[in-house]
Amino acid sequence: MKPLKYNEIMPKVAIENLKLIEVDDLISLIGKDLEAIRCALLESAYHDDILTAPTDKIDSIALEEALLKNYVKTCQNLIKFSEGDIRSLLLAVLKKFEVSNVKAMLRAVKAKMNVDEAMKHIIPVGALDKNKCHAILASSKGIEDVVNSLLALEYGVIMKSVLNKRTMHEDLVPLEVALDKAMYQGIWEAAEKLKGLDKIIAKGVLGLEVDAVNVKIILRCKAKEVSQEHIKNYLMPTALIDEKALEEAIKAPNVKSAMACLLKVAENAEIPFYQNILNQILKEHDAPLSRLEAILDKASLKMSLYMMKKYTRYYNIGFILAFLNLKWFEVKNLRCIIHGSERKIPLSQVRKLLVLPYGL
Amino acid sequence: MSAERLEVHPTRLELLSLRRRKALAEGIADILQKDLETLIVALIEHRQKAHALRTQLYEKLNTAYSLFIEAEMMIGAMKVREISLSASPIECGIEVSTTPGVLGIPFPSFQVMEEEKKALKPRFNLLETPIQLEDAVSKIEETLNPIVKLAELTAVIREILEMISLKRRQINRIRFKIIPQLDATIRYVELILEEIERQDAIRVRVLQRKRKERAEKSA
Repeated sequence: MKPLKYNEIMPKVAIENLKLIEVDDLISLIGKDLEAIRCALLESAYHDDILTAPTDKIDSIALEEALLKNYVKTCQNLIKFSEGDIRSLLLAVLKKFEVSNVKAMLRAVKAKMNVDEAMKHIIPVGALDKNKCHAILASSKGIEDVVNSLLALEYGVIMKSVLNKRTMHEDLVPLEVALDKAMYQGIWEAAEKLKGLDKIIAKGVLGLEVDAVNVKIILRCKAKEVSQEHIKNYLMPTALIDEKALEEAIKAPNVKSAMACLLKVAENAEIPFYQNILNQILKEHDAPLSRLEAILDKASLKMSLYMMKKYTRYYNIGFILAFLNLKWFEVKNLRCIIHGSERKIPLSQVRKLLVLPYGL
Repeated sequence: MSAERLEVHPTRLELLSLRRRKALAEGIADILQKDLETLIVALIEHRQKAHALRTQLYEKLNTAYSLFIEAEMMIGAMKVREISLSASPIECGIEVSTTPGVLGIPFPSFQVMEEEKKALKPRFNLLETPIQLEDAVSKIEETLNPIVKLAELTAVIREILEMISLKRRQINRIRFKIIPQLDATIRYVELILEEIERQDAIRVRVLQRKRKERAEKSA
């Protein structure tokens, strides 16, 4: 453990962590009108980004954009104060937004959206800044043009190899899956490069995130009766649950037996947190898929909080990852509240969709 | 309003023919009236069916829209819009034919053409889309058949309404135009025939009187 490399980033994370909205305050926003939510957000860490949103017509989309911009800005700020392997990991995590932008561009071109309309779907980040995205969208008439424009970046190369393999270019799902796989691969590799306790924590938190994604994919495909061959194509790179266990789960006839297969692996590997999550899913295997997905969505947040409690709060990556997770779920919750408020959704329904830490 | 009479020769034969035509017209009007009643019953039945189907459809669409809104709340409106616009559309054909309906009237029949089932593949990126969006799409897909059936029922109802209005016009034409016209003509012919009869009777009486006077003179 090298505490020096945390000298700058930890105070920054601690400050940002203090700026997070309290759960009670968040819940009190449910059911309020957009103007009230905007005013409340002006008093929070989102102040600067909310101010840039147009004030003449407050809508959920403008507020959502401000929230996402704030998240990206916070990540970039942390990257600025980080160094070494931690920086590499944070950059890999931020690539989620880059990938999201690439997907947005592909979709916009496929849907033949005009450039200005398409730009609303993009949160400029990293190598894909506003000008570059605008130029790509303006010059692309088809999917292949987007891919060729991105050949200078890793995304273009990944997509080109997918395009070369298939004849039908209409379906974007294979391209998107390839991008997601590369993104998770990058995160996993960055986590592998960490050392000591950081490595254990990062692999635990990020590994669970990838595994939860894989479990979610298996559950969804099982429910939609997707063939076993196809399911394999959609799986992300394996983390703590290995490929063999996932294959067994794919072959299982139903959700219950699929979970039992995965649970066996978690028991053998003696990973108590995985056991808890999988046990919970096994117990509620008859529940709607939305409920099971909510458990899996919350898993990585729970894991990061667990890691933070288990190990010291400072001088390891656990606090950084926990903060990023807490911030991300705060953004998601605020988005949920904003849309619920705009659509006049009953409070209980909005409350049900929130992902709150500590099982509140 | 006095009905116009037909241009006919005021003969007894014509009178008989007119009376026959009137009886026939009344018979046709009765049959048309029964057809009209049958059509009204069919209209009520189809309306009830359409109402039930519409209620069922609204329930399904409500569920689908609720799920769609939930998906928006979970991943954001922009992302849902982006995914929706780029997803490959659900393609389906509708076969239009006719089937004999009530009173043998050809009713339109719409059928969703079942496409060959391809290997099941997710339509959206599994990583980004919440199950709520997939469920909303499935629910919307489920509503395709009821929507087509509702369109069929609406077309049938429109057909029945057109037939009802046609039958009404026919009945009205018979009851308020043809029959009064025949009545007026019959009355006219009867009047003429009565007049002829009266003239004949007077003529007979005059002739009898003249014959009697001639007989008295010769005696």
